Amino acid sequence: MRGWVTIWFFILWLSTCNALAQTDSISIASDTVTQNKPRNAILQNLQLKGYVKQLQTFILVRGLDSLLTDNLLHNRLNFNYSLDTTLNLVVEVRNRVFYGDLLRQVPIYPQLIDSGNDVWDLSAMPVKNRSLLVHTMLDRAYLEYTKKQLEVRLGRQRINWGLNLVWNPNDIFNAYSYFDFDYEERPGSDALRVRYFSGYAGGVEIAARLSTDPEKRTIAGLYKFNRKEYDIQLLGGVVGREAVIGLGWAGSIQDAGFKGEFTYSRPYTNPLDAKGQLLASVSGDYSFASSFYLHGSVLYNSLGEKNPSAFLFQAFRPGRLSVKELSPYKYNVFGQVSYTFHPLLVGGLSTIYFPEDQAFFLNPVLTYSAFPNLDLDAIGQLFMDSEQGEFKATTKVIYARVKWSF
Amino acid sequence: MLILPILWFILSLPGAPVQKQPTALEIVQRADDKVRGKSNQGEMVMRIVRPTWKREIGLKSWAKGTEQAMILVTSPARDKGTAFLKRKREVWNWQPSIDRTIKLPPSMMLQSWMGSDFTNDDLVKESSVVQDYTHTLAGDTIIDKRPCYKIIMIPKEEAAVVWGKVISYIDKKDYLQLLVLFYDEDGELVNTMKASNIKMLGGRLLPARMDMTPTDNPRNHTIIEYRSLKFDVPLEDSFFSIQNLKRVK
Repeated sequence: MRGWVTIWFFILWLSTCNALAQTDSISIASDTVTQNKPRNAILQNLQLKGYVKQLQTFILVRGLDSLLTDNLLHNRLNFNYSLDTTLNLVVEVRNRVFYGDLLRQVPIYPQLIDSGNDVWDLSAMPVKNRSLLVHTMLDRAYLEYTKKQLEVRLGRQRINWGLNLVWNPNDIFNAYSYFDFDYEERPGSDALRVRYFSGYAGGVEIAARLSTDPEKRTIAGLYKFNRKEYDIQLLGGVVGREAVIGLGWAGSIQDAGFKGEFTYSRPYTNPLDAKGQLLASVSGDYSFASSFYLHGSVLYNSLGEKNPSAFLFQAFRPGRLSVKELSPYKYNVFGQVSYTFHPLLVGGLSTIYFPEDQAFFLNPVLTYSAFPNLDLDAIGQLFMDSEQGEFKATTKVIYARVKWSF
Repeated sequence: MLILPILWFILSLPGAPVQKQPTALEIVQRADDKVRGKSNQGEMVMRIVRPTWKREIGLKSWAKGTEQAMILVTSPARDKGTAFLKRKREVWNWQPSIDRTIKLPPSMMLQSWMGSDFTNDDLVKESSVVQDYTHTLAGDTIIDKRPCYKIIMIPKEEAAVVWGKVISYIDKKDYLQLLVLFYDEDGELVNTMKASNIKMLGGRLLPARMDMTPTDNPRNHTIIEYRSLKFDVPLEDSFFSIQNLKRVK
C-alpha cells in the first residue's frame, strides 16, 4: 500500500516538475495563451487508454450439486507520459471488484488473487469481506529511456521473450497459465531491462528481475537475429538457483507459420546430483483466405508426470507461474480452429490433450463486436477425464464477458 | 522541291509528335510508381459498410519501395496502437496490450484485413502488380469521362497471389488506376474496386477514395479514404524495424 502511494506521488511530482520546467513565466505572464501552454503540453504528452470488463463465471464441479458463480468487474487504466523525446513514464493500473459464491466459499480467495508483486507491494485491498473484495494494483510502473537503438526500462514491466502462441518455455520472466485468459496483459516483473536493437529484427538484451523470493530472482541475456526469414533467439541466465539456456525461432514452412522454443534448466549449486529440466514447445499455424485458421502445438516437459494431482488446482490458479510450471504433464498436445462467421462474429475451439492419462481440456470461444468498442464474449472451459474409456467432464466453467474499451 | 527536305527535317526533330504506344507493363509500372513514389506516408480512414452496421478504422501508413511497409491503427480505441511491419515476405504484428510482437504466417496475407473487403495483402501490398503478373493491353474504354487503357493481368505461377486474373483500367493521361476487377481461378468476378474523388494528394493528382465491393454481396462494401498522403519522404531502412514498430505514432 505504501509503495502504491509513493508511486502516485512520484507521478504527481514528475508532472509538476515538467509543468514548471516548460514555463518559467507562469507567475508573471498575463497572456492567457502563455498560461495555457504548459497545461496543454502536459495533456498532449499524456496518453490514457483502458477498458472496463464484466466477467460472469458459472462453475459446475462433478460431485458438487450446486452451481457456483463468480463475478468480476474489472477496470484497467494505461497511462503513458512522454517527459521528452527520450523519456517515457508508463503506469498501468488494474482495479478489480469481486463478488459471488466463490468469494463467499473460498476463505483464501483474497490471497489467491493478490499475486504479481515482486519487491514492492504496489497493490491494495480497500474492501475485503466475504461478499465484496476490491483489489487495486499497479502491474506496470516503469521509466523508459530510448536513444537511437538503445532502450532502457526500469521498474515494473513485462519482459516477454515468448515466440509461440500457447506455451512459452523461453518466457522465463513472466510465464503464465494458458487457462487464465482474462488477464491478457500478464503480470509484470520488478526489473531492469537494457536492449540494444540491431538490424530490423535483431538485437541483444540483458534483464534482471528483483524479488523478495530468491527463487524468482532472475538475470538473463538474450541475443536475437534474423536469418533466411527466421527470427532466431538464444538466451542464457540464472533463475533462482538454476542455470538456464534456451533457443527459440519464428519462421515459416511454405506459407504456414513455424515456431519453437526450447529451454533447459539445471540447479547450479549441486549440478552433478541435481536433475535438469527440458521444456520444449513447437507450433505451426495456417490461415486460409476464408479466414479459417488452424493452429497446433506440442509441449514436452521432461519432469512432467503421468497423472498429476495438482492439475485442476493449477488450472484455476490465477496470477503468475514459474516457467517450470507451464504444465504438470510430460506430453501436451494443443489444437485450435477458428473461423470468422461474420466480420463481427468470430468463433473458435481449442483443445489440449494429455495422452498419458487420456484427459483433455476443451475451450470453445465466441466473440461478438456489438459496437466499435464493445465486445461480448462467451467462453467455455471444460476439463474432461476418462474413466474406463468414457470421457466425463470433471469441471465445467462458462464465462460471459462484456468489454468496453476507451 | 525544297519543301520535302524541310518536312523531313521537321519530322525528324527530337520531340516531334511521334506517338509511341506504351506497353501494358509500362502503363502498370507508371501507375504503380505514381501511387508509391520512392517512399510514401499516408493517413486514411477505412469504412466497412454493411446493410445493418458499419465500422470505421483509422490508419497511418509508411512504405518504401515494394518491400518495406508499416501500418498503425489509430482508431477505434479497442485496436489503437496495433501495428504491422512488413519486410519482403515477413510480417510482424505489434500488440501493445500484451507488449509483444507476433510473427504472422505468410498465409495470413490472403485473409481479410480486420473484417473488411480488403485482404492484408491489399494493405501492405506484399504482391507487386508489376512483378507478380504478366500484362496484356486489351483495348481501351472511358471511365468517368477519362479515356482508359484496359489491361489484363495474369499472376505468374510462383507469385503468392490469391486471384486468377485481374483486369485494371488505367487513365491514359494521368496514369490513375480507376477500376480494378478481381477474378478467382475459375474466372468468376469476386471483387470490384472503383476509385473516385480525384484530387491533389502529396503534390500528385490521385484518387482519394477507393470502394471495394464483393460481387456476391453488392450491398457490402469497404471504402478507403485518404486524408493525407506524402511522397518521397526520407525514410531510413531502420524505420521499418521491430524497434520502431512499437514506437510509431
